[in-house]
Amino acid sequence: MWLCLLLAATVRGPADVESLAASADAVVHARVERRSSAWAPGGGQIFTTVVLRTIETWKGTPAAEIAVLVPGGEVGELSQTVQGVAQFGDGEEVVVFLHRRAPSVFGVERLALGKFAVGAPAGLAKRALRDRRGLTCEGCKADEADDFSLDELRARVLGSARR
Amino acid sequence: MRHVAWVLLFCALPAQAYKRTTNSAGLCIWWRWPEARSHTFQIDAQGTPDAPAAETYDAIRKSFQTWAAVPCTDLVLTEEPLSTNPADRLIGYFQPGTNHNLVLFRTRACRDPAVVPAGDPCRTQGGCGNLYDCWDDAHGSGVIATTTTTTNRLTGEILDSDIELNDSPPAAGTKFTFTTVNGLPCTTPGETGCVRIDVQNTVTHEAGHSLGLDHTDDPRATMYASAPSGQTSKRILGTDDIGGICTIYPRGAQTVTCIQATPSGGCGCSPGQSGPGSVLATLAALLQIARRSRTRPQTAISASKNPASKALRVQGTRS
Repeated sequence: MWLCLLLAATVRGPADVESLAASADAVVHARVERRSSAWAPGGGQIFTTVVLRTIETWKGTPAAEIAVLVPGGEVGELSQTVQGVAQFGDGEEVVVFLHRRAPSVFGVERLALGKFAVGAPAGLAKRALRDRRGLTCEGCKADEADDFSLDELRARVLGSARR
Repeated sequence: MRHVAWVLLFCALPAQAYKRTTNSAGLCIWWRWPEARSHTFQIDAQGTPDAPAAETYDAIRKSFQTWAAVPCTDLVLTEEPLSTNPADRLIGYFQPGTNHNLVLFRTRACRDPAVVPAGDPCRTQGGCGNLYDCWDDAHGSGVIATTTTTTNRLTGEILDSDIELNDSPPAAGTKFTFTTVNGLPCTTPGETGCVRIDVQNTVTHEAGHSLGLDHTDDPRATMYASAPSGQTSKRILGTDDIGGICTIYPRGAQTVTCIQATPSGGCGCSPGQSGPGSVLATLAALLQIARRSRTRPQTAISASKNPASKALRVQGTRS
């Protein structure tokens, strides 16, 4: 029998770029190298380890290859999806705001609010988009943007880190 | 003509309409009950230190009963006895085992090395929450609550659903303070008798997820994805929420699933697909009652791919 696990989440804002950058241990522009899911010790929950290859570090000093642990995933006949958690695809280019769980393992800040997908239509500059579906945000500001040029997002994170 | 009417009902309203949660196979999720629509939930007796236990239990009960009180559905939400065994404070789905639809508060932070040893494998593999009865920071800081719903991937049938609230000390800043009072939002840190994170407001929303509803674009709805601190309005369902719950579980009619595709391939419940609007919710329920089939265990509608809806989301548009 195939099963999946879904979670919905409520997150406290604000979740503007500056607030996220301030609370994150690390912010990186990176690409997804690989993913693997496994049952957590004790069972009941599945977690996925997403391995990122850093393109550029914007805050902190993470290694060139970063392991990010996210709730949810699929193992055998069971699938666990976490609604509101950042989703990663193989080869995806991302900007992620991270907190450190262990010396070599990070988590994504505030679920999906801490991840931007990077991409661009042909011939246009890269943009960074955030998907906040699946999240309820208490205290998020109405003017929090989810769509930046990659250059603008980078400048705002670096500017925030300098302050 | 009847088919055309359904197409119009489900597809013609692009915004401010409920959405159903889908699983990783793209199927909308739904509960199946052996007999009547008698869904059970269970409250963990530890409650929250922020509010009196009895008031907390009452707020959670009201959250579920709000959904059951909708006239156009025949959901019955029954409370199991309070869970008093600390060993039962488990989130997720366990096979074999007895699974309860649990609501619990986590009051310790897994991040704290006094709670979870620094070298414990759960720090790198996950699962600290269940192992050490703590709020797992895999969710990141600032997460107030999560709902865990287990479904059959091939049918969308929900098997278990748990709600977990973060009552643990944060790495920085102030702890979330849950309240159960009626009143105005708090405006100062030490203020009492006012609303901070309202238990009923939060759990009513999470209960909607546990029943199969996703976030809606309608800001008046309980299932709207944003809530300012001190909000209590989500305690009361909006017409959009009612439209959603009654379409999935219409009174006297079969539960609407997404198991089988219809020949038209038009309407369904894939992510981002809009359902009937609030004005049409009652009409939809009545239509379903009128056309219900007593020979099929569930009514299946197809999963759809709505490129227009997806395009909006990719562009990051939101209310």
